[in-house]
Amino acid sequence: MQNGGFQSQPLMKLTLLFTLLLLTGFWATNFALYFARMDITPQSVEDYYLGSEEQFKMPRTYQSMLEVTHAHLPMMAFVVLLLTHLLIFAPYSFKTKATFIASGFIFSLLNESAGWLVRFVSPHFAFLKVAGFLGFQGILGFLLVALAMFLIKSPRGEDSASKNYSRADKSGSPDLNKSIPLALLKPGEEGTVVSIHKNSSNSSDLMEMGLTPGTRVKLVKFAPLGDPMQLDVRGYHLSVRRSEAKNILIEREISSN
Amino acid sequence: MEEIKTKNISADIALVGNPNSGKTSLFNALTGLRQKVANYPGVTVEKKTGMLKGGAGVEVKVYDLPGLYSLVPKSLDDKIAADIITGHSTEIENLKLIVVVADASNLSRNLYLVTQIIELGAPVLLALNMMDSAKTKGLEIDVETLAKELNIPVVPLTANKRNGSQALREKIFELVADDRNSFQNASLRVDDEIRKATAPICDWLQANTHVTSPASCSEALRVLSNDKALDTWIRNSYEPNGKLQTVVKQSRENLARKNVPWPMLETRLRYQWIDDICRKTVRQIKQERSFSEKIDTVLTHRLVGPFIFLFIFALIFQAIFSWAAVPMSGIETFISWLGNKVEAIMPDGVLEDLLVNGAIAGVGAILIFLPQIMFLFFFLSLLENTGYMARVAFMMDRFMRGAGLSGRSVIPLLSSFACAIPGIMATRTIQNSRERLITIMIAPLMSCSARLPVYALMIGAFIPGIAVLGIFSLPGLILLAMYLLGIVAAIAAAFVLKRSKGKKQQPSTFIMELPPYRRPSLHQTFLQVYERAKIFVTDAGKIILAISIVLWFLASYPKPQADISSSEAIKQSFAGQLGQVIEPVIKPLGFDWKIGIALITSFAAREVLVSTLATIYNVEGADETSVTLREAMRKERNPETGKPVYTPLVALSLMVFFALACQCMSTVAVVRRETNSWRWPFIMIAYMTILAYLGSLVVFQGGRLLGFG
Repeated sequence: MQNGGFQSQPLMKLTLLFTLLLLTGFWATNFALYFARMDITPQSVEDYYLGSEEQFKMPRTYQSMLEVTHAHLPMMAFVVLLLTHLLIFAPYSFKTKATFIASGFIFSLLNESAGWLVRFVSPHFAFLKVAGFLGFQGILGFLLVALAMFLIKSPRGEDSASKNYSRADKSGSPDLNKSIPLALLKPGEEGTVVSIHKNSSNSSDLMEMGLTPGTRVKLVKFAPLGDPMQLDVRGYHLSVRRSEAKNILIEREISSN
Repeated sequence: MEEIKTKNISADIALVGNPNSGKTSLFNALTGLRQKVANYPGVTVEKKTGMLKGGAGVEVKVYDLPGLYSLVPKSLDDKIAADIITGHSTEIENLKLIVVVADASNLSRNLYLVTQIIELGAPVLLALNMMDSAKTKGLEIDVETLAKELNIPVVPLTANKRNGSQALREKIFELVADDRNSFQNASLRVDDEIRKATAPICDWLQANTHVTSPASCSEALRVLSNDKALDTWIRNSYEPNGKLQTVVKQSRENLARKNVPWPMLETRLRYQWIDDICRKTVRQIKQERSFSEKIDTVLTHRLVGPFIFLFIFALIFQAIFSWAAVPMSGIETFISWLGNKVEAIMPDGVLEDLLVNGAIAGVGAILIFLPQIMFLFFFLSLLENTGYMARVAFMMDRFMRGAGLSGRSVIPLLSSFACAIPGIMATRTIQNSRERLITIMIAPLMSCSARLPVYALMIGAFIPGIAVLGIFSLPGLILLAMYLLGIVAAIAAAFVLKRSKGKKQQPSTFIMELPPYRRPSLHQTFLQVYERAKIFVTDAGKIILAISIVLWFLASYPKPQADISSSEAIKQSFAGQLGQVIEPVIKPLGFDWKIGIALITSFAAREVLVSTLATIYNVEGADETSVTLREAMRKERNPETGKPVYTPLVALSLMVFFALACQCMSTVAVVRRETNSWRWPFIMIAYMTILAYLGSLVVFQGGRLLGFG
């Protein structure tokens, strides 16, 4: 998995957060603008492009549509590019990233072309315009939220207790068998409990739940907000907060994949 | 208990087990509808009992104890169960048999509690539940060998499919009739060094407490290796002079000298034993990624999961907010129809008035909540029984931790935006009783639907529809501010409650099992809905009815002369007089005595404020959208100064008061029911009223200082 590391650079983080803020504004005004222009029903979209006698509206001219599209295309391209390329560095699965990147571009294309189809091919494409717009806004909103969450959240394994270990890890030490805190496992990785620090009030509870030395444990996943984590122990699933798990030392199993 | 004496045999048995082991469905299968739900004395922990079905001439009373993972208690709920099992508590006098329920698909961890219990030497029967899940998981369990290893009877079954519960019942009747005194249950074998070290503790326990052999040796090892277990003994005041602590300290030092690490020794040895048992009895015949894990990849997905939660919650909210409105208006129509009928049939008089405006209106006030409660519990029960609730807690935990709560509080608090009554009842799903209490105490601060009519009237009459920043309007922003005010106040209250109660307690933990997804049983769901509805009507209903009658009395006595208007009548009533008495107190908030009357009557329910003001201002049949009522309020002048009584600032002050005050007798009644004492409802009324008073005071006086109003 790529790791741009931009989320741990404070200035980069600041810049990106402000960019996201502005783009959120763009997202909101895009909605407002759309509603001011043509509203959400296929009929109102049709009226907007093809004109309406009741509302004394002229059909859109070829030139005005060309002007709008000409301005839109590069802007959409930059917005979607900016957001999707940031997504590449976020810790989501390949499938998720691919889906959002592809659908981001597809919807913006659809949103642009649907207007032309309504105006010059058939009014029935008004449905496509509504779907295209909502889809585009949906994906955009999703990207904004997901990236903001990724930026705001402290990066994995940076809490004070585990800092030393992560540093040791980064120095490229080949000794993977050394015991590490449980919270440093990646989702899907397994290990064997080596010891549990005895001076914590939770450690006895964790041991009673089956996390005794010698027990195999698998980190299934982290919760959407990065904490707590889901473990697979003794054939059942257990949710534990990071703060509670930092006292558990495990020996990482070298995974075969 | 009296009628049991005529039977041949009567006995009490306790049903214990890990949470999520299917204990509740087994309890339902064993007892059917013959159950009683109450609370253990003085605490919020639910006590469920029921009579065992079948068995001619034998009466067996089943106690469904709170679920626990270990005999070392971590919460009040755990402690109640553990104390009954270990004999610290004499809650069950005639305890003949302990039925331990274990999840066969998760045997290793379930055996931890099972082996702890069998070592106490009491008669134990192991109900090996969820045999079907074990099978689908690819596990084959040798039940006979397991029974031999533990040396206790074992009955395999699948309780939610009623598979094997008959065999279990028969076995229970057989064992209850058995009069043996000693049982050769298996126990943890320890080497000589550890035995020598625990012997002094063992002797001390036998000499000074109710514990006898062999339980004493098992307890001794637990006390030796776990400070929490030691604390439990000390807190149960078996320790007049610190003797036990000295004995334990001595033993620990002895072990440390021999290089045997004592911390959690019992747990480590016990799991070694369990691993050994599992090697002999459990075979994994096929291994595949479980169905549950596949569902989890979607439902707790990093991006999609929260959206699915919001969608499901929106559905629940929709149900209690709008779908429930249909049966609610039906109930309302029925109650007023009934009132009119009775009014028409009975001769005019005090009795008629009491019946129609006191009793029938009071019953209506109870029944009106039933649709919301039933809808919410239908969904909650589904979410809980499928295992999704634990995922909600898992996903939202980080979010709630800021307020010092855990993910379990999310649903009760969100539901309280519709109505605090079902919200408070939903706190039952919070296992930790301290967290449950805090959630109950802050739930009424969420702006519920009954506050909306008050907001609508005040905003509609006094807040001008100015546009703000182009897209927002002032009325909308004020409404939003009221909701936010409630949330902020709730967070602050949670913070204070946590501090004030939490000094000696341990920090909240979130070590929670995520049970596999299971198909919910509709039978169980309806049973739960029925149970909750019944509890609300019988327990909280009594209080609501009593308060309604008191409020009716205050509003209609002393009897007015025949020729005065209803507006005059309410002014002369006790409520009216009371409103005038409290005027000096509420004057700093900008309220006059007329609002004072409305504050008193609206304790029945917040929306009553609107109808009371309508009566006072002589507006017939008004609701919050009534133009005449708004006009009448705008025209109202202060007789001394000639200035308007209601200014936008007074309206704002009144809204703040309603956002924060506990103006709802049904909430009080349901808190009384859920906390099992009058202490917490009174604390709630007190703190919320003070909060409301201060909030309004700050708004009104602050607003005046700034030159508004």
